[in-house]
Amino acid sequence: MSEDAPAVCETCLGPNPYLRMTREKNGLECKLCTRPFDVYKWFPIKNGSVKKTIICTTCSKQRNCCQSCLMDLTYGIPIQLRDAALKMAGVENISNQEPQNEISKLYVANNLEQFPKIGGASITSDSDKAREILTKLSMASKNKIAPKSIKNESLPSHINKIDVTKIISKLPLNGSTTPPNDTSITTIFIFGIDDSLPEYKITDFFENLNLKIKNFNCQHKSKAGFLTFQTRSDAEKAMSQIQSPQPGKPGLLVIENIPLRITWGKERSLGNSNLEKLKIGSIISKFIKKLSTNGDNKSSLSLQIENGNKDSNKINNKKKQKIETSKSYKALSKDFEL
Amino acid sequence: MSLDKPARVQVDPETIPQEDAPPQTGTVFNIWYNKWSGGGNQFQLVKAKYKLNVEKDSGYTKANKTDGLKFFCLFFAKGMCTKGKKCEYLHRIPNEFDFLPQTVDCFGREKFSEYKDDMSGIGSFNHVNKTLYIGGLIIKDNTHDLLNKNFRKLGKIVKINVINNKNCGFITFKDEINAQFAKEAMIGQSLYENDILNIKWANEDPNPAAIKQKKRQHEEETFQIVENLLTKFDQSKKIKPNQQQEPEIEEPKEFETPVVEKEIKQIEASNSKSTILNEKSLNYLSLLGKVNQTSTQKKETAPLVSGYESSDDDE
Repeated sequence: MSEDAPAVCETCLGPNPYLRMTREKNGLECKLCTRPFDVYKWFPIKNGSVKKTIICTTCSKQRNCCQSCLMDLTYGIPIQLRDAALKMAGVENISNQEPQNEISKLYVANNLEQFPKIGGASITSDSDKAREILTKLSMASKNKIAPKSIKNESLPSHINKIDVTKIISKLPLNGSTTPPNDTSITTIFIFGIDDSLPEYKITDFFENLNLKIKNFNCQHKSKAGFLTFQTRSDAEKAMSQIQSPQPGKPGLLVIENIPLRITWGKERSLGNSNLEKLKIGSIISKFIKKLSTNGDNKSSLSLQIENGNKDSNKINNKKKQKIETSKSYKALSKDFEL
Repeated sequence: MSLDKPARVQVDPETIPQEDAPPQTGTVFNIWYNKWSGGGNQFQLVKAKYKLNVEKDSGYTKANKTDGLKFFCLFFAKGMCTKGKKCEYLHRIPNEFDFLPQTVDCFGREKFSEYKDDMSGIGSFNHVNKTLYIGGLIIKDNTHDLLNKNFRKLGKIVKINVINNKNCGFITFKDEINAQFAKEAMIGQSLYENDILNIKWANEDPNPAAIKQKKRQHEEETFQIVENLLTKFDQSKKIKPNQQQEPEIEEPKEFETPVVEKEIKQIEASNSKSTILNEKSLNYLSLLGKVNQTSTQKKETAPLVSGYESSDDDE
């Protein structure tokens, strides 16, 4: 290999060992340092698309990356990702500050020897060292990734002034999984949608059951959404898949360790302004907590049923249900007030 | 998405007028960019004439039969490809299994190192951006629903956020490739009758909660990739232990050792300052020491071997 051969990774070069490249002297300006450089072009696959180098050799050496795809030469991962990984491994001295303006870009590129390698290049260009750090990182990863903790995000202070009781009162928070008599309703109300739960995870759950979704109005800020199915039968099938730990109460669906509560309901407004949505979200998360604590009581009760004393418990159950149904919205509205 | 049918021709080539120039706003017409130049700096979004119909338009093309890197048809995304199944680009929606180098977008156009000042255009290879800015919205009750309806077909959506009092919104996709596709597919389209969507790349969300979440997500991704790498590495070492070592001997460059020493010094310096990171950095130091030893050993052996070889040849 001659000295001015390009630094290109195996995947970019393709399977052909007898590759033919063309060189164009000062053919383009480097995409990183804007200096002209020798462009190499080649065909990785016969009759495929052409590939070419897009940054100069100096820049690629500085970053230990491929001149064509900008992946790390040793590992074939993006260099930003590499630097992030090394930072997590506790390598504190990585200077990944790229020069910002054009003049300093040129200056850094022209005086390569004076500057240390950019990012983790100094580490991955030595494969043994890189491996050591990688093993260390993977060990750390096993300890480090903590379970997702649900924290109450701090809300703006003037949120208390906003009145959302009208909107909240229209939401079917106390609905159930039993299909309503109005057959035109094909919408279900999902609440408890955490910010970290992507929309597609919910739609995928139903689409994997071969159900057709017409629309999903998901408001992460309000922690709730309305999912409309194309047909009533699809909606009923979907609801039959959802367990209802407490009869007469919203059904429970757990996706990604996040408990979602599901009821039937017509589509309503979930707040207009940002603050309204945030307030609704905080109320709903409170409500979810309340539901889950109720659910625990209930499950312990159901255990008792299994142990015997069925008759007395049945009565208890009925009583409890009566109490639950008698709990009107008014009783709950007190809890909503922040 | 099933690809059992051929891609249909979206626009009959004969219906396209010869002179398709936008109304004159400058002095010189640039046929490459289909724009007038020399006039004022009045950029006007033009309402798109065609729109992609995902169910009807997608199908197999010539690109499905060829090997190598395949890109998506930009005209297909805009709903105006005149070639149908003879097109040499893919006529379907990108999915999570499509892999492309980070230097190009899904249509094969080269990215740049930084975004344009107005965040329009192809984007940057230094950032992974999965979020689009949607401008020019008219806020009505069903705006969110319409956005969802239009964009859900173009990829898996993580989040839609409509900002009512600013007439704009943000859509985050699961994969960047879908964001690229959706950006071109929906630019200039309208949700109602008299609005034109102006789609750009989103800046990073300044909300501290969002930053935290993004950071955590990024960390998880990194860990996963690192673990994949390690298993790959172990496998390749088991299979070819000898071949793996050879290039390692060849590769080390002269200026490597001083860099390592510098690092150790820097770490020692930082070590004396911060007491919290003591254990960590000590571990790292010991590791570095080991590495240093092995690398110097190798350097000693490498010239020896080559020396013998050359002398053998001479004799």
